[in-house]
Amino acid sequence: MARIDQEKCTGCGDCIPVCTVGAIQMSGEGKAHVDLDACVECGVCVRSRVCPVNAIYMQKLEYPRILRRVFSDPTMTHKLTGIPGRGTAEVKTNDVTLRYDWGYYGMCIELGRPGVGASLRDVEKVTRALAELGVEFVEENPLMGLFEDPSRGKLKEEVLGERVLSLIVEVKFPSELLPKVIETLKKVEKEVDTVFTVGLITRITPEGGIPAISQLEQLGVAVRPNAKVNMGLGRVLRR
Amino acid sequence: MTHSLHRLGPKELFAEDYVWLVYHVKGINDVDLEKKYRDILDLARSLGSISYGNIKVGNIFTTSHENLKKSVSEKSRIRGVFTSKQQVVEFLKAMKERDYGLSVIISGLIEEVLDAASKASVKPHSIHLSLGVWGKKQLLPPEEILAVTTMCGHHMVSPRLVERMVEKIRRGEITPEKAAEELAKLCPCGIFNPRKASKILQLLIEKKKTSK
Repeated sequence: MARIDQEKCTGCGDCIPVCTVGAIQMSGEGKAHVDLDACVECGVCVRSRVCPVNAIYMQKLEYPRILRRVFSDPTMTHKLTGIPGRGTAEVKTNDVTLRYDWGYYGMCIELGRPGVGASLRDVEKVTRALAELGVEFVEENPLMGLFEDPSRGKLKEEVLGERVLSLIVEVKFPSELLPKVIETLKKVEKEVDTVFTVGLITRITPEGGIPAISQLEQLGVAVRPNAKVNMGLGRVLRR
Repeated sequence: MTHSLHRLGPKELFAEDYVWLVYHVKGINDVDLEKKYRDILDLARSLGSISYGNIKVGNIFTTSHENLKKSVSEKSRIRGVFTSKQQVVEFLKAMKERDYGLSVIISGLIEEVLDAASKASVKPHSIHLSLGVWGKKQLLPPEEILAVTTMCGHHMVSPRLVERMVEKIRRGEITPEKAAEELAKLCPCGIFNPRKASKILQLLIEKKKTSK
């Protein structure tokens, strides 16, 4: 875990603003120290080389604390997905995998984003609420390793005390379920002690149309003007 | 990862901000990857991509183009950022012509990205729409700060560091351009746009001046 060698620390304070979650503070003795409850183990304090005397160092992490690093340090690669950075391929390879084809939507709910962090207890509030709707949790997602029972959205008891910089709950559901999903998220957003981003993955018509936008507007959900577009240049090269 | 999707801030700030990503799927289209990725890095540089990188190695502000090329492997994904729609058009034209079979993704203003695709005669397949931020929004910093921090989708740029940079610029210790580059170094993927960041930092300085 991120620690600061109290012997080496000169108390310059340069590391304090670098911390992504404000977990580095100055002690009464004029030395910087890490609040281990707040620290999400993203490692930016070490990678940035901000400390002029190299007083910051990482200690080996044990389970379940290591989950903080797995979901917060983008240089880590998840064993399940093989993708560095806490995520999934979502829309990025949809032209090849067709995971989200006509008739279905994908949704990524990223707890703790942007930059606030989230407890896994809050993550579970979202997964439990979504599981009741019968959505499918996408298999190729690091979240799957945290479930005790995905059919109920229940996470393993021992992980609930951990915090992460962010974690993506990726689900797939029939497009007619969208109103229920939105209604559920509107309810659960009042129950979590953090923020989350929501993204909807959908096909584009051959004419360049995006029918999902009018459906979202009818549900009272504003769509931001910027998005991520898969250009359709990917294809299967191995059979 | 949804890291280039939820860039926040006013629409006008997106005029010079287009993230590009190239992805493969293991066992499906991972053929001659190392050479393809090296060639794409060369293409991005030739088109003037202001930043690009490989999460395992760093970005163009922390390592060299040659080192990025050398360190490409079968597991790599490469990404970067363009500052004009014309660059996107040229990139898409080249990627279509080369027909690598890899997925190409562009993040930016929907109407501009779709127009760029049309100009390059490319038919987009699918889209990830941003429905914004939900939940306890009172925990968030001001929008201009978020416009900077959300450019690193892994959130390696803290709001407090942006504020520190604003103070340093105000005191004349660093230029907005240099401050933006310092922030860009923390984004290992290379999708943090230092030109846009520099403009937002200057906006923040102006805002401080007028609020006094």
